Amino acid sequence: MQAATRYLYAPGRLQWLRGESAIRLLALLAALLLMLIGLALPLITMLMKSLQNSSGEFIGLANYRHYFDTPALAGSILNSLKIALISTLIVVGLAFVSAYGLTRTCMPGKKLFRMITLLPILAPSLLPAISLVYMFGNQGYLKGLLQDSSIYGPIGIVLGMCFWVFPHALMILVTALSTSDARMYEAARAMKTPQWRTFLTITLPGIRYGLISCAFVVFTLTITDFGVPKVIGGQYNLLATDIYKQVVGQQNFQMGAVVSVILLLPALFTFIADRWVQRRQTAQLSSRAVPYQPSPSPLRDWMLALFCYAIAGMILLVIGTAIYASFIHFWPYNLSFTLRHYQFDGLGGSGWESWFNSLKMAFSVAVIGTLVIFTNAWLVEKSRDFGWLRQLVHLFAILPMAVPGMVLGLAYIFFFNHPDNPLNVIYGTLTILVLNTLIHFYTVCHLTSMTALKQLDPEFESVGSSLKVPFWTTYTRVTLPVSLPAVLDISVYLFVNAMTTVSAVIFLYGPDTRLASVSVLHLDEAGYFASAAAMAVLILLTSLVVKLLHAGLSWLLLRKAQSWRQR
Amino acid sequence: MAHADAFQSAPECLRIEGLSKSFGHFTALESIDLSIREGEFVCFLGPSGCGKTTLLRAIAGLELQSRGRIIQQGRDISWLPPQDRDFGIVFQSYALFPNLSVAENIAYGLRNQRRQRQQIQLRVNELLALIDLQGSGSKYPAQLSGGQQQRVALARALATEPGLLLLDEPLSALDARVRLHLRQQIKALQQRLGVTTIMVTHDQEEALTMADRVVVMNHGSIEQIGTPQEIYREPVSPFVASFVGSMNLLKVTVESRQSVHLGKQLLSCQPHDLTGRSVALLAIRPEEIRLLTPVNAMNEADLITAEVRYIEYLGACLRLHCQLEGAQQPVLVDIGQTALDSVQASRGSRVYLQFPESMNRIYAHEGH
Ligand SMILES: Nc1ncnc2c1ncn2[C@@H]1O[C@H](COP(=O)(O)OP(=O)(O)OP(=O)(O)O)[C@@H](O)[C@H]1O
Ligand SMILES: [Mg+2]
Repeated sequence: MQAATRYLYAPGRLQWLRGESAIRLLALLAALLLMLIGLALPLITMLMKSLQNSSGEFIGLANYRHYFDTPALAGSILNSLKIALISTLIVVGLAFVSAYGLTRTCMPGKKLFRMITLLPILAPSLLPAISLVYMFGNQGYLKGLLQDSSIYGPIGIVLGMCFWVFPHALMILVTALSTSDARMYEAARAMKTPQWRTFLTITLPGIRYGLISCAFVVFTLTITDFGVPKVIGGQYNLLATDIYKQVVGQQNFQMGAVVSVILLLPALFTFIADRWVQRRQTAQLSSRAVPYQPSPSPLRDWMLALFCYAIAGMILLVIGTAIYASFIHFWPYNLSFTLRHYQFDGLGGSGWESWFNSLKMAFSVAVIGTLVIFTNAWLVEKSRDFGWLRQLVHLFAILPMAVPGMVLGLAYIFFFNHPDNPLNVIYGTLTILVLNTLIHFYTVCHLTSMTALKQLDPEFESVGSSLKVPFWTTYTRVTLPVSLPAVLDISVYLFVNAMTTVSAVIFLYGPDTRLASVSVLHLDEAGYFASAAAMAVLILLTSLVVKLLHAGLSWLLLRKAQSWRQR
Repeated sequence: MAHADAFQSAPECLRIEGLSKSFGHFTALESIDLSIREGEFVCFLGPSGCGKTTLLRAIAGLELQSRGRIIQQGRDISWLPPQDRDFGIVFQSYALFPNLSVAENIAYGLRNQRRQRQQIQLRVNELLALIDLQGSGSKYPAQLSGGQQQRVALARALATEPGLLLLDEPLSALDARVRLHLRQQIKALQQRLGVTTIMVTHDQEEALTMADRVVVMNHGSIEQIGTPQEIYREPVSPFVASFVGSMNLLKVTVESRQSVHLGKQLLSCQPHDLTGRSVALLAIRPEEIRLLTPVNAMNEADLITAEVRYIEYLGACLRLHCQLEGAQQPVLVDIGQTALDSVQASRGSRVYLQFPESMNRIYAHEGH
């Protein structure tokens, strides 16, 4: 307290706060404002809404009491947890074996396998669900495999989730497995430790944090996903679909808010637990660690290769089914080729218009989001003063990860659709979709930026100011160009996610701003399954093209920068 | 002494008054007072974590002091942000911009001064010549050796002709040979340009060979300020004595103002203010101890006998690790090869040592 007083009333404090420092302060405040408007205030509004009745009077916890007294509603909690846990177990298991094959064996075809496993993220989670219907639905060509059980329900949901979440899990585990220290394995071999003991005493402990982190991410993704259960969930109620039903189906916004708060809890819990684990992890690996180089072992290599190929085959089968379905007249009666489903005839805003909207939105998010997020991260990481303010912005930057898309979308309705809010002019426009998507995917971009910035010499800014060069010049001439690979990664991540996201934007589009992913959902709801598949495939192709462009661009830039990057 | 006088009449370049800095509850700098004159080369010397970098960064405005004032050329700059102060700085990591060529790095601060393109080009060429890197202007930092990068960083800092040059351990990332060479280069450059320079280092040899004045720091405060000779010959505390060069610190008991007991032996020493049979420390450098042949020893008083434990070969000289007889304290003695041959000392043999009165510095024994 005394220190704070001294700080504020020190004679020269105001002098210090002139010029560049003042601009920095303003920029940080702007970042904070963005977080308040885009995250904190909407969530608070939603929390308040859950404590009100339909005419806006405060009624305490009555809504919650009603929720828990209605078995049809409260039952979803258990369903959601069950689905999330089962999916997590399956996905983490499959991803671990695959990641082990990729990093610790000499199996052939690693590159191709990695590329195939990237495909599921490029499509909305609606795509696997639609494909599963074609495969296992009433007319499904693999229906026999299910015998008497129905794909509409838990089985379909879990299958769809596994498909869609697998790439995320694989990426985390590959990173975890490839950052282990070869010297420990050499030591183990020198002591003639049997393989299985090496695995139990070195491999598993070495990646335990990676495994835990992976489980958390998968759990959060599966408990909050909306696309898969929406299409294939049937009568099986989950929290995410409940929100949609309450809000869109029954116009019961209060109950929507209650379910949102309840869905926020497990996500928030895993988020906190993950942060805690991450903190313990930091000092794990010394900088002198030697990367592990696997040596060939035919039996093991081929077993893991077959396992991975089976997974790749299933991914291709699911995607192939959607593509196939989008190109034939009418499954299963008329299998002749047609482009009819790509014309989206008579479907109004659900056609190509929505695809253009998505493109516009994704492009805006990629450009604006990258600049805003990277700049904010830079302000947080590379400023010297305003420690508390930077901490606050950082905290807000990692918080969006804990907020499920459905919850964020609903919170935006409450906040931005309020008649007294001057910001309500953006309701129903592209702006609110951009803002929402930017905030929804903020955290990963922020962390990527921070990692890239931490690798830069901490004194670049000091050198700049000692040479009396304004800090923004150093930012644009040095910091940004040097961080270009990370910046490109962020922009393509934002683009792909903006293309594929459904959950957050489902509440926010207007008549003129319907998005392609929302169209998939509407087409499916209306029974135009082939058109829904076509639109999902269109999204997948768009993301794929952008991803390839990104890869090409990165390669060119890296080659151009080779002259100064080489060591 | 002659060195210090050279700057006595020069105007004051920088004055620091009662400067303190704390990080939370940790005090990194404690009431620092310092005055630096125009054209002087000053080294901050001290062990790791003693606050050298913090002091340098406070002068640069990169770290804000908790208390105290900094005055540069009569102007109070205590609260000015770095870009409003007048200094150039070289960091330990050099912080060269990797995506800019050497010439662009050097011109970085010049572009901002709205100079003409041609003028900038001229100045860059001039600086490239100054650091002996003509023709490397279009290379990128990663294509240069460590020593070359260091010189580019120096040129970049000097480009705008700052009134004060700050160097934070500029040589510590280099290997020993390059370091030796650059030491001379930097010193020569500094003398040619006459720019007031502060260099942080924890290498005492670097400080002694380069600086006009050395500021020895410990635990966030200044232990001693003086020319290299003063620091080496007349350290004011056991800390300075043992940090700069090698120093034997021997426990003695005070006998009078000019004498102490080392074991049973009475020794004359430098005048001191300690009184009454208290335990004190006698500081003497290994090369200041005289080693006598048994023949010479016959005629001398004040002799101390010791046993040679082992002999360490240091190249230019030999270091005898001895154990004082009676006092049971270790003592180091440096002598040349010829001197050793004439004494014929070897491991286990008995030697006679003489501690010249003028070299026997006495300090209070702290923590006793
Ligand atoms: N930003 C900071 N926050 C907290 N403590 C700090 C900070 N910067 C420095 N310190 C502490 O202040 C003390 C002095 O640091 P400083 O960097 O000035 O040491 P130094 O003398 O330059 O040491 P070295 O030779 O290792 O560079 C150290 O104990 C350090 O841990
Ligand atoms: Mg330092």
